[in-house]
Amino acid sequence: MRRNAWYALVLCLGSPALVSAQGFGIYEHNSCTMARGGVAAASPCPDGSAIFFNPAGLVGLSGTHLTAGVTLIRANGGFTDDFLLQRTDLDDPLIPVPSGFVTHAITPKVTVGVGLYVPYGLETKWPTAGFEGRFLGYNTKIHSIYVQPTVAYQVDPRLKVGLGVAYVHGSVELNQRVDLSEQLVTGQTFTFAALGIPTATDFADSHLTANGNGFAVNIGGILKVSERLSIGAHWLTRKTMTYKGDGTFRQIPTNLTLAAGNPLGLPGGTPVDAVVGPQFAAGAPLDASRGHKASTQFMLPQQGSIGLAYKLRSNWTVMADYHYVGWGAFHSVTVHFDPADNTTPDFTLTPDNKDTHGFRIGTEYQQSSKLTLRGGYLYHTAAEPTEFVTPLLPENDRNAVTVGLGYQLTPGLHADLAYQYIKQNDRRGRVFSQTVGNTGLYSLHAHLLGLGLAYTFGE
Amino acid sequence: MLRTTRGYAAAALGLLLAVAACSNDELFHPAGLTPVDPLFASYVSMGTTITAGWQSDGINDSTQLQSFAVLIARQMQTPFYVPLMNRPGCRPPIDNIYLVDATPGPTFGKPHRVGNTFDDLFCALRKTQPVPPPYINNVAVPGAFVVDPLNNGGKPTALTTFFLGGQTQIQALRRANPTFVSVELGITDVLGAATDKVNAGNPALITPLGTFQTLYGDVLDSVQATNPKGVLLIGVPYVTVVPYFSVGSYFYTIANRAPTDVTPDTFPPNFVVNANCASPGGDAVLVPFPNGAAVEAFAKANPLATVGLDCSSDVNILAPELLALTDTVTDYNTFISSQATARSAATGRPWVYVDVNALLAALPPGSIPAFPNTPPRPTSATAPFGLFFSLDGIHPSAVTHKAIANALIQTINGYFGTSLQAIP
Repeated sequence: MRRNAWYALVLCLGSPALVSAQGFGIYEHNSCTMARGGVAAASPCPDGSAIFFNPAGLVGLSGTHLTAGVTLIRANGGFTDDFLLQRTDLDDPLIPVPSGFVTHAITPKVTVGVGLYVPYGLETKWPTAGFEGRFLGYNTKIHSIYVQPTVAYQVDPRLKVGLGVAYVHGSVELNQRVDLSEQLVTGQTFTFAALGIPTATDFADSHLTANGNGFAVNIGGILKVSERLSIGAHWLTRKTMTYKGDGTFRQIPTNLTLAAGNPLGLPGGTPVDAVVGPQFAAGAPLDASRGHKASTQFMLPQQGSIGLAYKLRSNWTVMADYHYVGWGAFHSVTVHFDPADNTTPDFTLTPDNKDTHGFRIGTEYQQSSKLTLRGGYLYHTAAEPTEFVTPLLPENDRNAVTVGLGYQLTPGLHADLAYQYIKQNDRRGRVFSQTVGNTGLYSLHAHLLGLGLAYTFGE
Repeated sequence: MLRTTRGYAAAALGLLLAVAACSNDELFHPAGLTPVDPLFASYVSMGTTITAGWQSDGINDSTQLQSFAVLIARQMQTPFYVPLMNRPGCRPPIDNIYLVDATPGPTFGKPHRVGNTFDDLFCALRKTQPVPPPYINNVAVPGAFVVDPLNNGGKPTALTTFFLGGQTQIQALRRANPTFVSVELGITDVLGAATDKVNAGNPALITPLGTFQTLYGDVLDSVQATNPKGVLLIGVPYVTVVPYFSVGSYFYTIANRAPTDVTPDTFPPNFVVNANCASPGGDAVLVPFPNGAAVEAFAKANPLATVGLDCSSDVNILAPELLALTDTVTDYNTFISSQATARSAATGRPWVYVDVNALLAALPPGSIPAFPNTPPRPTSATAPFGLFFSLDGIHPSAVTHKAIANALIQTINGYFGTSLQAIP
């Protein structure tokens, strides 16, 4: 049982690398950019959000800007079983994703700024009652905060460059149930399944919190090819993050009772919970009185975008970006166990992710001196291979459409509003171990509403 | 022209991108696992030894898959998860009832079993399948009394744990969210009395009718609470018709046969049949296999040892006991039938009573041999109790399971308007 109990913990701790792929990635850090389909590489919105989208875009912002915003995400989806056609719906709450940017033009050619944004901050929550995938994960929360000081410089009238160094603090909370049928019987070489314990018998709840810190570099450049055409690109470097975790276990009553004549030789009527109870005692593998320490390292992948912006008219711009994330670097993740805390050997997961590719188009139309209208569309490929579509990350290629507007409330205060609808393609996935394979269909769509306020001092 | 060509190209590219971008996966139903009717989306079979697939005094993944419930589920094309046991079994089925252990020891005198063993206490583990069953459809447990589906309160064996893992049949049934249910209960409540080795037919071991009615009703209440679309209530067979038992007067007739008698059986002179086995008294005495045919086979193999049969012995089912057994089964079936009627009316959905004794009566003449095949007949090893009963003389063989399945398919089609195909 010890090996399997720790396996559950390992699975938890190994998950951040898996869950921080495209499905949990958030690109909607700014309402203005979100409204134009996330296109920003060649022409970031003039509100400081260039700190993330392309640091070079800070040049040209006069004075001091303060921008704050929030994106509300409502994800809807579910899993439908192949055979019984039973559907389990996601139980996700409304998730707010905040962002804030401050910039200051030191000279006409040099602008500095600091951005705070949350590129990974979603939650996947499934009901525990009846959902077969709860043993892989029923509640996963990702909270990551990026704080990025940035400087941008106008090299010449046509070329702007920017550089930012982001300090990253990430935390993750993962919850899953542990299936008694998969555990080894104490002192035996076979599992409880070989004694007839039904598949999907909850007997423990596993809760993990882990934190990690690191740095990443964000560079960008914008070239003004002509009065109408600009091209731009930015690149965020890869970085290895260290996550340290603390897992706890809690016994879940099975309420099963052994019949007389059972293979364990125990009296009829013996509760199964009494049989497995000692596993939760102090010093036991599932010691419920303390946390179990483990850690892992994984690499935040490199990502970048390249795009163009073309002014059809003085008040109408069309834009397009290609966005790349190097999730393919995640071939495997090794989890290291603290030998001072336990004797569990290291463990390696092989998510075998794929690089993702996004294609975004957007437009912005200056209706009046106060009102700007925006719209966009994007398509993004999935990071997860077919074998790793799980409740942690039921992810697939997705399409999204966006609309929004910006309005100048006062000479110094500007507001942006954006709406995005995401439709993820239905994808076959699994709720059991990898050996079982995919046994159903995940579906997902989401509504995002973004609101941002930008204040320019001295206007 | 160029402008038109560009327009078409752009439209084609857009269409291509749209198709590529909106490619949805779909639910997957393997061929043969899409139910032929929504009624069979989830079939659960409750029951006893028979439904579980017990044959030849044992069970393993081979006999389990020969159960009528499994056969019907195949015709339904519905996923049907069975708690398969590793071979040789738990316990391993008998493979030659006349090959007994002659070596002094704990298995002395016991018949040979699958796995080249005489050990009838051996129990293999539950088979761990590559794809663990998410739930169990055949929740029947060998030896289940009518009380067991509710709380495993009868005389559970290791199989109760192996099959259900601490659940009751009702709990396991609920997990499968059944749309169609078959219930086969009651035989253990009389069979245990009939086969009691010390006092066959012991009335004290029969579950009293009142108790049976209460418990059976409770079981059906639990089934009804799962709101199935259809239910089969399979009646109780008359346990006394199985070839494990032979009529006492048959022994007397053979032992005292006239020279012109063409009856194929002959007894050796060292097998002595008491006069109390003569007709008419012997007509109402049932002799269990271990006390009759097995002893006669022993006599043939050991001509110097004189053995015999006393029809007044308590090891046989005596006339009053036989009457009690048959009356009990009749009363059980009357109640089960009435429950089918009442619950059909209460739910508005068919609850169908299946008269299993009519099925047995419809077997071809001679299907149930009056006397087991004993050595040196060639069939004594392979089919001592005929083709329709397994090597323990009590439980149906694979052939009978198929016959039961086909009969049930006819019944189901008749009552539910479905078109399940017969098993060839």
